[in-house]
Formats: sequence, C-alpha cells, structure tokens
Amino acid sequence: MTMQETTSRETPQVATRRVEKPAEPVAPASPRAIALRTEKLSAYYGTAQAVGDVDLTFEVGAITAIIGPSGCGKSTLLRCLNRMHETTPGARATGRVLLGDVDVYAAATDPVEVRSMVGMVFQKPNPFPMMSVYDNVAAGPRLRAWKMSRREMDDLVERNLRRAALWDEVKDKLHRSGAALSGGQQQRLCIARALATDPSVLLMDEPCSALDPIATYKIEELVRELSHEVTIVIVTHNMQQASRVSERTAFMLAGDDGVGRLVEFGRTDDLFTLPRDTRTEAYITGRFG
Amino acid sequence: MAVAAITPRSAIPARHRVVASRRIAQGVVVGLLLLATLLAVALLVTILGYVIARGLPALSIAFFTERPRPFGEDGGGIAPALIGTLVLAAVSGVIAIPVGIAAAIFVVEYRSGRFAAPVRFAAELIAGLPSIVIGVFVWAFLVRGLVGHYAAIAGAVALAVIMVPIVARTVEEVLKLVPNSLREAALALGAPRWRVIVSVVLPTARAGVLTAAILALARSAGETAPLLLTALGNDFFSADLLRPIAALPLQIYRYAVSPYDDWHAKAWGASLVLVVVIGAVGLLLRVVARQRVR
Repeated sequence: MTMQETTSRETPQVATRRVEKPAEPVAPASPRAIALRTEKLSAYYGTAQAVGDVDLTFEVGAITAIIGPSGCGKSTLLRCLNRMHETTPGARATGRVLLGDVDVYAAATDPVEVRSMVGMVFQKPNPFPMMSVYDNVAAGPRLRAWKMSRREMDDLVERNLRRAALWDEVKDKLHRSGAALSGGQQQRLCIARALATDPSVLLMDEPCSALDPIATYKIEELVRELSHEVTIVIVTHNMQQASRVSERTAFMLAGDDGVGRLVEFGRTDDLFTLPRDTRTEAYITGRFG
Repeated sequence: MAVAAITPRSAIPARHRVVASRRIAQGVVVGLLLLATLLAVALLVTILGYVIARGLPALSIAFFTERPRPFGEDGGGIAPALIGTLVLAAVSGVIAIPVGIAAAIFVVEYRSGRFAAPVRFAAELIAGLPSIVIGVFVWAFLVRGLVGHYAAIAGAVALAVIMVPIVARTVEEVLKLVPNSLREAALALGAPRWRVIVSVVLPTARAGVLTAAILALARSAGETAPLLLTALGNDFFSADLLRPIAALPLQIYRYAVSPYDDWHAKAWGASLVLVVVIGAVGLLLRVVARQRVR
C-alpha cells in the first residue's frame, strides 16, 4: 500500500533556501543526542524487498525529512520505525532499530510498547469518525487504559489541542464529531491525538499531501514548533516542504531491482545546495521523479 | 429549449447523429427495465396488501391477549405464540449473534491467520444447509438426546444455527468496509489489537452490525420447519425453555392446514402480526443505529 503513492507530485524546482533562517555557525558534527537509529534496516512485502540496508540516525529535537520519488520505500521505512510495517499481511523487516536504548525489533520487545513511545500521523487525516473531537484526543490514553480522572483528561485534551494549534478553533465544539472539521483541522486533530500519549518521536507520513496550501502552511508551522518537544521524522515528496521545515534530509531512491536505498543523508542546506551524489542532484533539480 | 429548437438536425455531423433504430432500442430496453421493476414492486404490494386485507379482520384485543381456544369455541388469540416467538428470538439471538460476530471478527481482523479461510468456508456451508436438515439434526441431538423431549431451548438452538452464518457473513462484509486507516491510527496509538477491534472497529461498524443482527432475527423469526421438530408448539402460556413453546410460524402453519374457516382467518391474522413484528423490530433498530455523534 505504501508503495503506491497516487498523489501527484508538484513540479520540482531547484530548491534553494538560505535567507529564511539566521545563519548559525555550522558545527562539523552535531553534539545532539540520538533519539532513533536504524542499522542495516531492510523491509519486505512477502518476498519482494522494498527497503534495503538503511542506516540512519535521528537526532533529539531535530526535524528529519525523508524525500524521494514514489515507490522509493520512504513510507515503508517510516512504518518500520514503529513496527507498523508488519501490520500489513506478509510484511516483515530485518536489521535493527534503536529507540534510545530500546531495541525495537528484539524478540522481547512488544510492538504495542514501541508504538506507545512513537507517535504517527498519516497521509490522509484519519480521525475516528464516530468519536467527538474530545474523544479523538482522549483515544490514545483510553485505548491504553491509562487511569485518569475526568479532570485530568479534560486537561490533557486541552493541552494537546493547544500543542496542535487547534484549541481556539474547536473549543466550542469539543463534543461534535471530529469528521465534521475541515481537512487541515482534521490533520491537526490527528496530530493532537498522536501527541496526547506523550511520544518521544513523532513520525509523519506525507502529512500535508491531502491538504491545501494554507492548511499545509499551518501544519508546517506546527511541526517547527513541536520540534522543540519531540523528535520529528517527516516523509514528504514535496522538496520545498523538506527544505522549509527540516534540518536534516535523507534522500532515498529505488534501484532497478525495486529496492529503496538511502542515497544521501545530511544537513538539509547542504543536501539541497551542494548534493554530493549526482542522483540527488538530478532529483532535486527535477530531472527525474 | 428555444435554443434547442433552432438548432437544425443537419448542423450535427452525420457520424455524431443518433440514428432512429438506436432511439428505439433505447426505448425498448428502458421499457423492459421499468416493467421488471414494476413487477417486483407489484408482487410486494400484492403480498402485503393481501396479508393486510385477509389478516386485519381477524385482529382484536383478544387476539393479542388470549390463548388459542379449541375449535368450536369462539374467540381466543395467539398470545402464547407471540410470547414464544419473542422468547425464541431472544434466546437464539443471545446464542447466535455473539458467535457470528466473533467469527466475522476472526475472519476479517485475523485474515492472515491459517484458520480464517476454513471458518469462512464453514459459515458458507452452514448457510447452504436446508433449515429442515438443521431441524432434524437438533431434533436428534437435543430432543432425542440431551434434553429428551421437545423443548423451547431446542428450537432456539436450531434457529441459532440458522442465524450464525447470516450474522457472520453480513458482519464480515460490514467490517471490511471499516477503513484500514482507522485500524492503523489506533494501532499507532499503541493500542493492543483486541482494543482496536472493541473500541474502534466495532463502534465504527455499529450500524452495520445491528443490521446484520436484525437480518438474522427477521430470517429466523419466520422459520417454521426446524421448529416443527424442536419447539413443537404449545397452546398454553409458557416461557419455560425446557418445555415445548408456541411460535407464530408454528401457529400459522397449524391454523392454515386446518379445515376450519375461523382458523384460516386466524392464520391470516397471525401472518399479518408476524410481518408487522419483523418490520417494526427492523425499523426500531435502524433508528437506534442512526444515532451517532453530531
């Protein structure tokens, strides 16, 4: 499913970005802690390999973008990070994923606990349609049977709706259906829902591809805000978006064998202005994909 | 319209023009479709109308409150059969609906498992069994075996066997309609699989699951053959599961095959009641199912 992205891609342009951010002194190596790391991560659907031997590190508090053309395995890779990949019948992954000190794919690790620590936002907004706005945000704690008083839950819902910059728009319709909101609001509701269980990492699978430019802008603003509290990994086919929001970018590409591999990984500025790999350069200048 | 009128036919190039034979074919096909539709509707209206016309005169307060009287005595009603049908529906529903829903959940939510396909196949086979065969089986197993005599519980079990595959197959279709994105959202929140099913999948499919239950109840409420061999029928008030119990279809059957005009009229009355009860239950549950968060 993840391999077939039907959304049309915008015309890629040469992405240059320098003025928007204050030029900070470039540290040669980042001193920041590592929130998440993959080692030789491969993913399969049945016998077909979709992702091959990916080594990536995701720094605490940084926004990392994963870009690449359709079918390059970027969504599959993302879904391996919280063991959602294996919920597709026949799908499996090999290699290692380390979430802090937790070996995500160790035999003793319960996937439910992994997903508890890693939040996820999907391509299409998917609020629970039979639940109200309030219940959508409360869904995570309830599904995990956290013991909370009514008061604590009220606080939690408000706090996370505020974190998702949605509180002011929905505070008067908390008990209306979440499905009645606009697309952009629904996606921010989904972000609030994912945040409500206090994940240390938030995975976002093309969170704006179903939204209009204004809703997209709001989500991007929000993502930047949130990066102060939670490590964010965002998959996008929109190179402008990657350059706007992320600090680090990974570029993936599927080879002739259909296996998606990591081509280049580095600071977003460097990757978009001085790509080391000719394939990266070809992609970001719009020569394929 | 004025614009269309001044467009000369000749203005349309020949190969874009619709020829007369095509117009005729179109008319014939639409006419046939209309005829078939009218026939189907007419059949429904005729049956309902006839049941109402013949059944209505038999209805009275006593018809709903009294027990059947022996032939020759005037009056009497079908109250034990009404109660019996409700008891049978309740007991068979309690047995069959959870089992059917569980089977459907198993088939849909654990479809990668090894047993999903055999379970679905078994449900299809049971659904294909003639209801009299199910009746014979329950008769041998319960009436002659475990219970030892005709009993309401045997009737309820026979009806439950008929209902399970209906519930299972309908709920299966309904669960498949629940978008996978909702399951993924719940799983990604760190919910165990069973919680996802109980708290997200089933509530989302609530209306459909209710419809499945109604469908199965309505179907079983009209079953006669298996009840003849299990519940037997009873002219007295009884809700005892270990004794024979009356039921509307049994009552209709007994009255309809009798040689007496009065009983024939009562059979029509009971038929009308059965139709109305099934229709009313369906309507009620549909209204309940429609209520959701606004």
